[in-house]
Amino acid sequence: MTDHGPVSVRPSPSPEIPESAWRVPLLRHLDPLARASLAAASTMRTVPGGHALWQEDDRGDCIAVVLAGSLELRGVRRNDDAPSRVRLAAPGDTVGEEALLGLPRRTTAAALETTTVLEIPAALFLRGSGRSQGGSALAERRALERQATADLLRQQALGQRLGPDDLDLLLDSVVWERYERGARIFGIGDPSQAAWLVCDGLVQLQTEDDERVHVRAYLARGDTFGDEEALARLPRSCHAIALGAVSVLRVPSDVLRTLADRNPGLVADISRIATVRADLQREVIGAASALSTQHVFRDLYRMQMARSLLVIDQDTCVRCGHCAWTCAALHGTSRLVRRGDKVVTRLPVLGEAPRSLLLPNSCQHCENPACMIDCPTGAIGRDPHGEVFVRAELCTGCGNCAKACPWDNIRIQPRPPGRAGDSVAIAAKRGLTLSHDIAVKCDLCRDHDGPGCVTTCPTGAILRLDPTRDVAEVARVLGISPSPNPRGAWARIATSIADVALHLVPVLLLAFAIAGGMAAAARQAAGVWVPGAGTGLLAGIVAAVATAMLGLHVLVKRVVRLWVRPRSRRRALAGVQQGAPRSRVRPLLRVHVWLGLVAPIAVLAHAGARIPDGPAGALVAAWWLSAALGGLGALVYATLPRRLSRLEREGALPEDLRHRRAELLDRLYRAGSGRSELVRAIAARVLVPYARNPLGPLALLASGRTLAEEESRVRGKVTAMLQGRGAERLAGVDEIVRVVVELRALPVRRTLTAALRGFLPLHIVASALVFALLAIHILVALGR
Amino acid sequence: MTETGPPLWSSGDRRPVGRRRTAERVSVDGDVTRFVGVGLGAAAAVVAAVVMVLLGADPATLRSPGPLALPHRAAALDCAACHTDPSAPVATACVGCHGAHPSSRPGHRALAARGELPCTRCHRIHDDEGGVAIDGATVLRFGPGAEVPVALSPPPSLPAPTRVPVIPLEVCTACHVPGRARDPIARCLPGGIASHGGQTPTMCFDEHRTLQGITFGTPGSARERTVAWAIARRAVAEVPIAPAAGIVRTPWWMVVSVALGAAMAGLGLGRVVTGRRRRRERSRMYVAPPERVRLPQIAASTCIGCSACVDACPYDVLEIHDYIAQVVRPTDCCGLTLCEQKCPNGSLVVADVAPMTDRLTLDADLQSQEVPGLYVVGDLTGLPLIRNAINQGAHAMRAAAAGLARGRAAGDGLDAVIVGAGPAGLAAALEAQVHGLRVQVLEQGSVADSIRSFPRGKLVFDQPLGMPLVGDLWLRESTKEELLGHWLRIVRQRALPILEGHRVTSVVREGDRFVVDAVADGAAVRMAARRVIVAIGKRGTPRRLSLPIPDEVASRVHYHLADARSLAGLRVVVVGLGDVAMEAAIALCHQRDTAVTIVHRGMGFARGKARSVAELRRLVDVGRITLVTGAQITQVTAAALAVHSPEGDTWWPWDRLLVLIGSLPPWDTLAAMGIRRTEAPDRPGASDVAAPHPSSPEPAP
Repeated sequence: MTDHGPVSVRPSPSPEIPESAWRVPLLRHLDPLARASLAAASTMRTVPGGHALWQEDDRGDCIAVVLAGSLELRGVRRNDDAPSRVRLAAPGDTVGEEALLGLPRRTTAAALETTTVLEIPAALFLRGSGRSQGGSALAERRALERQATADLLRQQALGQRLGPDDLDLLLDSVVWERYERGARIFGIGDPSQAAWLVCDGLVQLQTEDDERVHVRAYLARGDTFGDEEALARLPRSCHAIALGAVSVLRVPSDVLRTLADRNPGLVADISRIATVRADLQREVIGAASALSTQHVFRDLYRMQMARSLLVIDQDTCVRCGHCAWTCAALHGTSRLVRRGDKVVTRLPVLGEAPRSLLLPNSCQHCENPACMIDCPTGAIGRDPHGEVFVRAELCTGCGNCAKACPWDNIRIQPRPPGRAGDSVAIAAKRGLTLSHDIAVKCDLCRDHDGPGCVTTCPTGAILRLDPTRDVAEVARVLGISPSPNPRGAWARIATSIADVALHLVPVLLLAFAIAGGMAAAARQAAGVWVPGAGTGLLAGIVAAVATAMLGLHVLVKRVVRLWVRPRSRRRALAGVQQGAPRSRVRPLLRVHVWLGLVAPIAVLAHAGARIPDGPAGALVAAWWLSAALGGLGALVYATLPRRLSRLEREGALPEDLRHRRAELLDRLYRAGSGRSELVRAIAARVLVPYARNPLGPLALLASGRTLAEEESRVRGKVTAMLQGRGAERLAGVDEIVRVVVELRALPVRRTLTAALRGFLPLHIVASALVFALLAIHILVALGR
Repeated sequence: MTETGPPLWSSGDRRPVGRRRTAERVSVDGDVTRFVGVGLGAAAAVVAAVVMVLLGADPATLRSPGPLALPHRAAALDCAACHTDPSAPVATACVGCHGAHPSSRPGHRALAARGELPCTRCHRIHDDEGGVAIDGATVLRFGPGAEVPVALSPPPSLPAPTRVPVIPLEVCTACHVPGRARDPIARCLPGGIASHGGQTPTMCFDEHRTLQGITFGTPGSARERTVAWAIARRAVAEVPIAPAAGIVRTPWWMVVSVALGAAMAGLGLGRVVTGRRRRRERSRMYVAPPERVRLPQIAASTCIGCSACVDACPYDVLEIHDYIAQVVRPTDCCGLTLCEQKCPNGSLVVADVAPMTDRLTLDADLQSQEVPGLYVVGDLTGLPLIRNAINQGAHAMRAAAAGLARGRAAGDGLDAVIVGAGPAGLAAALEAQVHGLRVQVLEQGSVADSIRSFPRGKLVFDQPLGMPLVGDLWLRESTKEELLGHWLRIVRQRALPILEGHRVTSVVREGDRFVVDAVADGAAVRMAARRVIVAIGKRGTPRRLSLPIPDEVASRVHYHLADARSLAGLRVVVVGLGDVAMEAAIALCHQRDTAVTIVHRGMGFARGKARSVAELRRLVDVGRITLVTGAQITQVTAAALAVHSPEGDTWWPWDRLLVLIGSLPPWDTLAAMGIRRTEAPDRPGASDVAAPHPSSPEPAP
C-alpha cells in the first residue's frame, strides 16, 4: 500500500481539457493537485446550438464553465407563466452554481450556438478550492452563499414580507450553520439567543422524559423554529435535533425582534403558517400512531432524503434471499443486505392496509447525497435522473463515502478484475495507479434493465419507491401531494378482481387435484388404468413432462440473465424511463406451484396410490417426498411471513439470530443497571420469569399479537400489579419490557425463519433424486 | 403532537449516530451462501440412487432383456432360437415349436389372423411370462427368473410336466376395460381374486380350447385341464403377485433412504469445505513494544483529504484542516501504521522520529531482562490498545508455558500468577488453560475494571483491525456493556481462577520461584509461583485531590463516572478538563435537572477531542455548565466546596464531587518488582514534534 504514487487516474492535466480552461476566474486559483483531481473527474461536453445542456428540475452534481459558445439560462420567474431569459453565459462564465448547495437545476441551460462546457463535480470543486487557497475560496463561497440565501429567503414567508432594507439587514446578520445527524441545535432550558430557518434537511423538535422521546414537530426546508421563544425572551421549551445533516440559517434574536418591531404583521404571518403545518402533522401522526407500532416518522429524514428507496414488504417476503443472490450474481458481490430498520406504513401502490416494510442496506439515491459530497476524488456522481453512481476508475477506496452514508449502504471491497484480468496490474503497466479497494453500492443496475433484486423477487415483495410520494403519510407531513394512482377506478377494480382470482386459483386447483387424484387412484386400484398401457401410460408421460417442467423452474430462475438483461446502450443514453420495475420471476413461481398442485393427478393415474417394487417404487417415493416438501414450502411461504413480521423489530438474517439471545441478555442487564429497587424487583419476579417461560414463545405465536401489542399487555400487567403505587420509581421499566418481549419472541423467530429456509434444500435434493430415478425409469421403460 | 417512541439519540441500545470511524467491507451473507452444499448434496443423492439401482441389478440381465421363465429355460432355448430373423416377427418361431393353435375366441382369432394379435402380445416371454408348473407332486409358481414352490398336492393323474400359463391382466387392458360390466373380460375376473393391480392374472383358461401342445400330455382331456386350472388358480391366489422380477431387485426404500443419506452427507460436507476455505488461518502474531517514537508524515501536495487516516487513528492524533490531514496531537501517537495502511495513495508515511523513552526493558517475549520469569504485558509496554493487550497477554503466557515445559520439574504450587484481570490478564489466563497450567489471577478490584470505568454506552473500538486476535478472548467493535457482558460470560463459562479484591503488595524472586504477597480485606495472602505475569495496565490509581476529605463525605467523592444517570438531579462538581472530564460533564449535563460545575486549574480548553471541546463550549455558552477556570478546591465540607479562583474565593454547594484529573502510572510498583525503564529525557528528536497542545497529565490542584 505504501508504494502508491499520487492519485492520477488519467495523465494530468487531461489532454481533453485545454489549458485555457484553467484560466477562467472560477478555476484560476486552483493548485496543481486540485487541477489534477478536477481534470480526472470533469468532463467536456459539446452541446449543439438549440439543444439544452440541462432542463429545469434536472438533478446534477456539476457546475459548468463555458469554454466556447454561449448558453442561455431560461427559467420561470415568480409571478410569470412562461419561461424567460434569466441570463446569458459567455465563455469564462459559470453556470449551475445551485449544484454547490445540492439543489436541482433552477433554470434550463440552452445553447444558442455550438457550445463547449467543462462540467466539474461541485463537491470536488469545493474541496479543491478549499485546500488551494483557504482565504479567497472562503470569500467566494460566502458570496455564493449570500446569493443562495437571498434566493431562499425570497421564497419564505419571512423574506417575502420584508422590504429590501430589512432583507439586507437580515442577510448581513444571518449565519449558515450545518449540523450533523443527531446533533442538538438547542436543548431545553437553553437561553433563546436566535431563531433558525431550515434550508435543508429535517429538524425534530422533541421533549424527553428519561428514555422516551415525545416528538413535537418535524420541520422541513422553509420552516422557522425557535422564533417564538426568541421573540418572547423565554428559555427553550424543547430540544431541537438535526434528523440528518441539516443546513440552517441562524437569525440572532435581536435582529428578529428588530424586524418584528418594524413589520407588525410578520410574527402573526409566520406563526399562522406554522399552525397550519402543525395541525396537519398532528392529524397525520395521530392517525398513523393508531395504525402502526414503529411508524415511518422515526425515519422521516431518511424518507425525505431518499429518491429511490428499496423496501421489502415483510408480510409477503419469504426470506429466501434471492434478491441478494441475484445482486451477487450480477455484480460479483451482493450490494444488498437484508438487514435494517423496519417501518410500518401505508403504501397506496400496495393497497390501503398498513404494511411492515424493511429498509434494507441498499443505496437510496439521496436527494442530497452525503457520500457524493464527501468523496475526495469526485468518484461519486449523479445523473440528471438523480441516480447516484460510483465511477470505479476514480475511486480510491478510501472509505469516506461508506463512513458518510448514514445508513451503511456503501461497502468497500477489493477491486474486481476487469475483462482483461487484474485491472490494478494492467493500470500499473500503463503507468497509472488504481487503488486495490473500491467502494460499491447499489446503482439500480444501471447497465441492466431494471434493478435485478426487484425483477427477480419470487414473491414480488421487494419494491423501489420514492417515499416522499409513495408513502402516503410522509407525503402528507411534508406537504407534498401523494402520487396519484396512475390507474383509473375501473382499472383498479379490474386489478383487485385479478388479485382475488390469483388467490383463488390455488384453492381451486387444490380442490381439483384432490378430486382428480382420488378418482385416478381409484381407477388404478381397480386395475382399470395400468402403468404400461393406455391411459396409464399417457398419465405417466404427462407426469414425466410435468416433473421436468417443475424441475426446470429452478434452472430457469437461477439464470439471472433471463430476467435482468443488459440495457442497450442506445436506451441507456436516451434515458428511457420505464414504469415502476416489477418482479418478472413471480409468475414463474406461481406456475410452479400451480403445476405442482395438479401434477399428483397424473402420478396417481400412472402409478396409483401405492409404492411398487424396485426403482419404480423408489421413483414414486422420491416424487411424493419432493411433492410433500414442495407443498410444505408453499404452505410455509403463504402463512409464515405474516406471522414472522409481527414478531420482528428489525430485519435480520438467519445467522444474526444465532447471537441475538446473548445480545438481548446484555441489553437486559444494561437496561436494569442503575434502576430503582422497585424496577429490579419487578424484573426479577415478573419479567425475567416471563422471558424464561418455556411455553411462552408458543403462547405468543398462538396469540398472534405483535411485539408492540405484547409489550403493552405486559406493561399493563405490571401496572395492574402495582395498583398505582410507585409510579414515580418506574423509570426504565419500559426498556426491560421491550427486551423480555423480544426474548420471548426470539425462539419463535428462529423457528419460523428456519422453517422458511429449511425446506428448500431438502426439496431440491429430493427433486434431484426424482430426476435421477426418472431417467432410470424411462430407460427401463424404453428398454422393454 | 405527542408521538412517543424509543428515543433516537439518548437510548443505550442504539449506537450513537453520526459519522462512523470504519468503512464497512462487503461481506458474504447467508442470503448468498444459503445454497452452498446443496449442489453437492443433490449430486450425492443422484449418484447414490444410481449406484443403489445398479447394485441391485444382475449384470447379465442388464445386457439381456431378462431371464427366461421355467418352460423356455427347461427347453434350453437361446436368443437365436426365437429371434431367428430380426425382420420377421418372433411369433413365427412360437408356431415352430408349439404348433398353430389359434384362440377359441372369434375376436381374438380374427385379430390373430390379421397379424394384429401375435402370440407375444399376450405371452410376454421376457417380462411377465408366468404360470404354474405341476410336476408330479410339486407345484411351482414361476415367472421370469423366479420360482416359488406352492404347498398344494395335485392329483397324480395329471401328466408331468403340466404347465399352465398365466397372463397378467395388464396385457388384456390394452384393449379391454375390466371395470365395465358389458366388457367380455368381466367374466374372466372372478371376485375371489379382486385386484393385484396390473399384476392380477386373468383366470381365463379356455383361450386355446383346442390346445394340443406339448404341455398337455393327454389330448383333449377336459377333466384334467379343469383340475390343472383349479390348481393353477389356487397357486396364483397363494402367491398373489406374479413373480415378475424386474431387472433390479433393490427395494425402493433402500434406494430412497441411501440417496437421502448421501444427500445429507453431501450438504454437510459442502458447508464444511466452503467454511474451511473461507476461514483464513489466523497468524499468531503480536505487536512488539515500539522502540522509537514514530509519527505520521503527510505529503500535503498529494493528500486528498479523505479522512481515512483520521478515522483509522485510535487516539485522534490526526485531523483534517482545509482538506489536508494534519498531525494535531503528536504526543498521543502510538506509532502503529494504521493510518499509513489506510491512506489510499501513499501520502501518509509513518516515520521514526526519536527513540522512545520510559520504555520497559523487556525481551521479545515480554519477559523482563532484569527479572527472568517475570512478564509485563498490556498497556504498560507502550501500546494502549485493547487488542494489543489481549495479544500480548496470550503471547507472554504461551512463551511462559514453553519455558515451563522445557524445565518441567514436577512440583506442587502454581505455575503462574497473573496480576490484574483486565484484557491482558484474562487473555493470559485463557491461554494458560489451553496449555493446562495451574494459574491464579489476582485482581485488586473486579474483573475488567478498566472497561467498567468507561462511561455508559461508550463504543469500544477494536482497532487495529489489521492485527489478528490471538487467543480466545472476544473482541469486536461494541459498546462497553456488550464487551463486558461477553467477557464476564467467558470468565464464568471457562471458570477462570480469579481472586477479586486481592491487591498485590510485592513480588519477590526466591530461587526459581516468585513469592507473591497480596492483601485481601486486610488479611495477607501469600502464594508461590514459577512465573508471574504483570498485567496491571497503565491506568494505575486515579490521582486524588491533595487536600483532606472528611470521612463523612468520602462516599460522595468519585474518581470515575460509569453511568451518568445515577447522578441525575444532583449538583455535581467536576474537577479537571481532560477528555474524560469533558465527556463526563457533557453526559451529566444531559441528565435531567443536573447542575454541573467544572473546576479547572488551567485557564481554558487546553486539550481534548475537538468534538468534546465544541460541545462543551456550546453548553458553557448557553449556561448549562458553569466553568470555573484558573481555580482549585481548597476545602471540602459536607455543605459546600471552597473554590479559590482569580476572582476570589467562593463556596459551591455540592452533592457529588467527580475528580477526573488523570491517574498515576504504576511505575513504582514495577520498580519494586525490579523492572527497569530506559533512561528518560534526552530527547534528540523532540524538536521534530510540533506539539500544539501541552500534553503532560494535569497536575493535581
